[in-house]
Amino acid sequence: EIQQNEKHIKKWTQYRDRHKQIIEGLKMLSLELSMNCIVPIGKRALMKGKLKHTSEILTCIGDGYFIKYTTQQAIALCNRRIKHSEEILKDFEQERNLLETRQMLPLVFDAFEFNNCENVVEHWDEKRLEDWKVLHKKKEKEYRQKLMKLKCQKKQKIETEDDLFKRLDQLELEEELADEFNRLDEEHQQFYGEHLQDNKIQPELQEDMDEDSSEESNKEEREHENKIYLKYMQENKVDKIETAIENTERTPDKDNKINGKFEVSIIKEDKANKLLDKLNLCIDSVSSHYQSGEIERQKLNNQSTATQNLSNDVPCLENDVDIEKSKGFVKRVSFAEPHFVEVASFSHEINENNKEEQLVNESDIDNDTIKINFTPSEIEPSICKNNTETKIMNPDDIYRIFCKPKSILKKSPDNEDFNKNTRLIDESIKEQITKDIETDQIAKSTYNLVVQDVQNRKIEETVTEYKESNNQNRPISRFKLERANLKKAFK
Amino acid sequence: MESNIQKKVLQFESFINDVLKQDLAVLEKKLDEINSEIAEFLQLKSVINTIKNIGNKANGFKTKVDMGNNFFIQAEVENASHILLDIGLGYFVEFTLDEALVVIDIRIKLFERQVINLRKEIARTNAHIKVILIGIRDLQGLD
Repeated sequence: EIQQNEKHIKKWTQYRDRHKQIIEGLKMLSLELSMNCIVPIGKRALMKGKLKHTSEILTCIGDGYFIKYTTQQAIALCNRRIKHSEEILKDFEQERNLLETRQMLPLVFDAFEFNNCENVVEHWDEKRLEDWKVLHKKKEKEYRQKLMKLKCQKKQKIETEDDLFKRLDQLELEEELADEFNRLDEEHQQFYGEHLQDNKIQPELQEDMDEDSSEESNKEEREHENKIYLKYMQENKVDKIETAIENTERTPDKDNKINGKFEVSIIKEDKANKLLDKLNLCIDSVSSHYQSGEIERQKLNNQSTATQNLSNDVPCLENDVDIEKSKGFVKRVSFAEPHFVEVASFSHEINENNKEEQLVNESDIDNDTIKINFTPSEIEPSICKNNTETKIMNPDDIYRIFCKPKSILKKSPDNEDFNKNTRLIDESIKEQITKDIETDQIAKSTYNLVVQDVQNRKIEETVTEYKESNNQNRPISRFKLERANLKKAFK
Repeated sequence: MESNIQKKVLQFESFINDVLKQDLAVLEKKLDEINSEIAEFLQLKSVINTIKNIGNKANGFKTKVDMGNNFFIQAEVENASHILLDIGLGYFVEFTLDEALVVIDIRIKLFERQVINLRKEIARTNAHIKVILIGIRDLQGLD
């Protein structure tokens, strides 16, 4: 490479030098009109002659094309060519430097001094290869067996019923956490508005849970789903929970929710057992759940502190929702008590619920949480079935009168007017009565959620639902919502 | 014995490659040079002949002189009756056209003799190579 480079350099330097010579010659020629010279004829012979037309120079521009130049132009051409050749020479010079350094570097740094350049040689026999293969198989088998063992262990974990429930609870908890995280940021931004949303979402969740608990088969499915969910959650679990614990101070709601979830799961268990007597056992199981995992325990601590707050706050804040609202952070705790009372009063006053809600304030030895147990009453539900009157006697009537089944079909413009009038009337009447009625409705509806065993926080949820319920009528469900939306649109 | 023969074979082969073939290459180079010179002289001869044929009447002609790198300048030869010939070592002797033709003929004859000599030598080296090859084959063929 270097040799080639040198060749090139030589060639181009010669080229440059020749052009320089030509420039000199041309300058000389341009001075004179004619010049005596010896004309070469072939290589071996010369002839005496004279140079004429010294200003006219025929230059070859390559490929057999010639141009007639004046001497000045020819000199310019020469200069251009020299410049070009010098550039090329520069490049070659650089190349030569590079090559030289490349040659020098290994010598300078003793790259080949030591035995670095020895080949890596591995000798393999047929026999050795076989041996290795056998060994490899063995190892692989061991690995597989270990894997199997691990799998078996995992399966076993789920097999026992207690474990199953534990896991379910855990799963639900995690689910809740995940939901919570989606909302956390917003919660900080608009605390009160957020609460409405929270509570909106929660009843839905609880509805789901109720459905699940009512059907055992669904439960199985749910379980499966939860398993899948768990896998996903386990990855994010640690981080989320950590952050969750950090945030618990700021968002006391979360604890409520978690507790609520636990209770729902307990309800499930209860339904499965169909024994109210086992309620206490369930509560025990709750506590056991708490103790089972570290995470739960931490939550327990939070809860206990929360309950302490509750005990402090309750006396002064009872029945005063507004003040509680303004309280904000402590809200969870303070909220619960008065509304719990409200609900309880509703259930007592309006006897339309087919069960009596029994209030039991239990202070757990472990964590001082106040627990309320709702148990079905012995009083038979008094449902007047054939009531065709438009008079509103109890919440049932409202539902019957105002919530007529509606067609899903689109309304034609013909129907529109007629429907509108009636609906408007409906609306106005409803708005007048809603407060009373719907509270009842909600009390009724939430009753399902709260069925047997509710902690005070649970009740808070129901109450918030009630606040919500002016906007969102749960028993009336989708169709009514649709209609309301339509109305809004018309207005 | 065998090792001896092997050694000899190797020696012969190296001799062929290192000596005889090198000689052959040199001879060929010389031959090429001489041939090119002859060609030049023949060309010159033809040029002189043409000048002689035309030059007597016009007494002079115009050419383009190469200044190097294909820069041509017009030149005019006014007196075409004399010509300078290279006699070696950078010396030129002025001849008339007729004299020049004689000298060129002599030179060409000289070159042709040289060529014959070179041809002979080349043939000889070729023969040497062949002989040695046969010898090697014999050495190997006997065993």
